[in-house]
Amino acid sequence: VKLTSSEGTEFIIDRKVAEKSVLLKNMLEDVGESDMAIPLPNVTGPILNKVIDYCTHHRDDPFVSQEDDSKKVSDDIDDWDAEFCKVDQGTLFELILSANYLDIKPLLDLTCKTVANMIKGKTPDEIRKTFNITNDFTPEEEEHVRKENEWCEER
Amino acid sequence: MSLRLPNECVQNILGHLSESDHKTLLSLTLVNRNFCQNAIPLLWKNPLHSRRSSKKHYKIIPLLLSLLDEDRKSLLKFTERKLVIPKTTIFYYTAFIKKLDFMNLLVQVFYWYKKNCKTVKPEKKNKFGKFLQKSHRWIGSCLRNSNRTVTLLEKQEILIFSESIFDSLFKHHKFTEFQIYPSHPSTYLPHFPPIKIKNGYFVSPHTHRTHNNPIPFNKFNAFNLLVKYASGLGCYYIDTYSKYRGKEPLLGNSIRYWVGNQYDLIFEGGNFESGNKDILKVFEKIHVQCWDIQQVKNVLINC
Repeated sequence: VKLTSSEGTEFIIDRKVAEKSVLLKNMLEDVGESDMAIPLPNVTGPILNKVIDYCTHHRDDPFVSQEDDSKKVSDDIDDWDAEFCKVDQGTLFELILSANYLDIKPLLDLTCKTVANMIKGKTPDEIRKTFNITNDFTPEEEEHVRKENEWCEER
Repeated sequence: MSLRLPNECVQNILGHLSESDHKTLLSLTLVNRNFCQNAIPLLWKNPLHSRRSSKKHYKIIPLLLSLLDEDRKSLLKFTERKLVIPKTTIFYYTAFIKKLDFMNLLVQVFYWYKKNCKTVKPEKKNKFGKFLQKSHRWIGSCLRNSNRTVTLLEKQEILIFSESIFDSLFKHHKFTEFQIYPSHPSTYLPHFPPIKIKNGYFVSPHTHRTHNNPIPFNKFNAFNLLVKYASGLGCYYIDTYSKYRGKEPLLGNSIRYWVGNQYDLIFEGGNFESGNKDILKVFEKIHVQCWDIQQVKNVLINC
């Protein structure tokens, strides 16, 4: 299967690897075998490379059903996956976006889990920095929310 | 410089946090509006998750009490006690509660009560007395770690407040799970205690799971009522005294039949075959229109 990243770099991968992505799987089923490259305008080359690494490593994993919330505990990341996620934050977020776009549930879960571990125990301000977002509360609103939820503060 | 993530990804990330990680979840609610909306349901999913949770949790009690119906509020003498209960809250917090640990609720009510509440003496001996006699030791054991003496009257008030909260939550929202500690059947359970009924049966809820669809019933008798109640909970646990163990659970089977096996009804040595006509009569007198835990309890206490 041929894929092209946003810059036009071509990647050739096994169909089995490509089928880890639900988006590509459905596409391949609809179109059938073809020499045409599938354009992925939302994914850059380096990220696509990482994604393919992941899918190749996990090519033989059984397909997990969508609603399997039972094992969402965050600490069980195996060594390969942990190593895989040792990237800068920008890359990690791009991986999340690509996993979301390509619909690769295990990769999405892995990357989101990594981010969840990153924000554990952080202050609101630190989290804002991590996600590069601004505080859109008015001071009164913020105080109100804090007041109504102060019951759960550790002491 | 990071990318902005779409909300579905934010939700996925938050989904990996433990519902008991209050510190992180509280931080998240204060990040911005969008994060707040995503984090509040998680924070409130299992608010009193730990039996050893901090004393400070008692500040949740006024928020929980705001859910109570007006007549319940006046019954509990909110005005006379000059209780400060929020009229409106930013979120309808209680709707997010999916799990509740009754014992911790009781403990937090106790802390809250000690700080904020004037004890109001009941005008006369109320019908609650009998129940309290049976449960005050249980309450005592729940509050054992607080190192404070609790009078019987205080215990009664604490229990009434806790139960009112529990009842309202039960009435207005769908729990998926609630836990009553300690779950050993020989221990007293709140709101639905294993009261000795004439022939030595006791009925006690265990871990309940709720389902969405109530089942229509066309027969009314005591066990229908129990089943109806059970259908709200999804799971019902009925235990009998050892005297009857090992016999054929006749009525147990027919309840299973009525319910159509859609719910987990657990009968332990459940023999309802003989000698319980009196209880049945009491139950039959009650009409099924309004059905809450209090009512079940009253029936059980009075028979």
